[in-house]
Amino acid sequence: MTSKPTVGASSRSTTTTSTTTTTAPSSAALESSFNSLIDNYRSTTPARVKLIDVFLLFIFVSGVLQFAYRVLITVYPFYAFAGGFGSTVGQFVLLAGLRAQVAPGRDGEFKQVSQERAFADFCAASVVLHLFAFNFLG
Amino acid sequence: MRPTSLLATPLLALLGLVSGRSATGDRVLVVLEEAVSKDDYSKFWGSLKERGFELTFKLPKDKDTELSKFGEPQYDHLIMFAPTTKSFSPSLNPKAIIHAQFEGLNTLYLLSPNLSDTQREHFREYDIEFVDPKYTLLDSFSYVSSSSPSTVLLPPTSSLVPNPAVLSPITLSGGPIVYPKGTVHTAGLNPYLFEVLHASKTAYVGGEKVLTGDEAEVEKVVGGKGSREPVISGEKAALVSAFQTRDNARAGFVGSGELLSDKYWGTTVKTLDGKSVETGNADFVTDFTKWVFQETGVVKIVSSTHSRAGETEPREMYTKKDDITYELTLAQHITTDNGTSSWAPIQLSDLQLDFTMLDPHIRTALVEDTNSTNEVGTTYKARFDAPDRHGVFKFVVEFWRPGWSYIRSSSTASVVPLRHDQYPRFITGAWPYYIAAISTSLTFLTFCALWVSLGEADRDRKGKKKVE
Repeated sequence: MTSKPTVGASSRSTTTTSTTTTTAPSSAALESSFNSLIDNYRSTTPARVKLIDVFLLFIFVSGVLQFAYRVLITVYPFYAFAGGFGSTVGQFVLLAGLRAQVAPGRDGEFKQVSQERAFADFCAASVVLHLFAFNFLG
Repeated sequence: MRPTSLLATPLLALLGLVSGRSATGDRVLVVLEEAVSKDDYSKFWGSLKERGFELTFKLPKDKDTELSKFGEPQYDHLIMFAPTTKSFSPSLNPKAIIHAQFEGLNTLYLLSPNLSDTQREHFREYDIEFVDPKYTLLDSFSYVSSSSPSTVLLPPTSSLVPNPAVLSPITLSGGPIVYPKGTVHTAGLNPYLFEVLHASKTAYVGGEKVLTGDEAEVEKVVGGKGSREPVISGEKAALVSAFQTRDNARAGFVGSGELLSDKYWGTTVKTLDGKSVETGNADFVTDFTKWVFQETGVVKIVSSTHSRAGETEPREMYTKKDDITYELTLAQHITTDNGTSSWAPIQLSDLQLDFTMLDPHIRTALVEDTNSTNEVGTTYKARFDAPDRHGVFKFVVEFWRPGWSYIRSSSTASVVPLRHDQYPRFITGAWPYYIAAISTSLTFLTFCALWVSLGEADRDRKGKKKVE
């Protein structure tokens, strides 16, 4: 943080050395905090939540790709887009709901709901969602 | 009765082909009043007979004349040469003639300045108003030198209205037309009426007395302060007009009957500057009677059809955005060199098709189809995509030009949306969406399987939690 004004002032005389020496600690700190974040995630997050996160990431990427395709190439037929995109968005929402119910620290809000119950809800809702989505595809 | 008529029909048709050149028939009734001498017009009658017409001469008051008997028209054409007659026999009075015109009678009116009031009344039905009986067309600069200025010489280039349906190029470039002692009319706004011949610039309407240089005299005669009537002169003075109804019955009005007389039929006259010129009367009268008697300017629809691209039969229903082809075949009536009636191709550049549901949704040009295999006439073709609008549509072709037959063709077809099972499936462009939906479902199944299998691993920790 404090090194930045120094870089700006000494930019004429000291060029490369000063920048490397000043940024190195901050990037190292960032890297270490990032590493600790990943380590923490790896060690404390339950395997099922990790699974949910992978699925969420996949759906997110799929949704972004579809939207890019819709904008850049074609939206015809619109129902197919509505089906495909609706399926990803719906699945994302349901999955996020499941994550909120099963992730650690949920007890404050979802004390009454067991993990099994949450998963059963999720499965039922997903099946209905997929039926609708495939009907829309045309 | 039946077999004989069946036998007679082709025979009659054959006769018709041989003798008649008119598209509708060759029976002509000529009504001549007593004041008109038949012999003065022998060349005109002769030309009509030569063209295959059967002439029947009657007097205006003949009781046995019948335009139609038991509902059947007895004559196809009528030449009314009785301008001064005040009363007609009941079958020839104006009312009967108009009734017969609704049945398709073609009428040629040959007139003179002394028109009777009944006739003036009759011509108002066509929206034609004639000048006072005492007035004729005069031209002090262009008349037959041996005669008075009321025998006007009309140069064809400036007084004929060029209309390819009525006038041939020979007439348009031929000799001057002699218009002797003729009356003048003004045509109203009736859209079925059009001018064929009007006066040239120097001609005017006036009394038989010729004007001299005396200005006060001119003022007095030609519309000074005391004159109530407007002066008609130049192109405003219509001399020959034509009328065609929507049923294609035709009528012609010639302001001077003497225009047809032997005196000016293919003869030479002297102009004011002493030159001898051949008159154009014969050519002009022949052209005009050909038009009135349905020999020229007659167009008929041979066939009209519509179909989807790649098909030949018309459909009752078309689907939205279908590629539709419409074809219309027209033929023009002509007289062949050996004098028979025939149908020939016709070149039109302004034909258009409307695809109409209340309003025209598509209006497109009909273009001549040179690859057509039709035996008669010319085929015009239009190709268009059906509108994205369902309902009952009509293919409408309307062709209405002065001189040509009125053509209207209308056929109905529906435009319907796609049936539920006609929509395209598995569209190439939509595969990313299909893959997205399928992959989401498959991933969901994999997720469920993994979730269940991972449950075993998590159980221990959960159990510990519960114990704590």
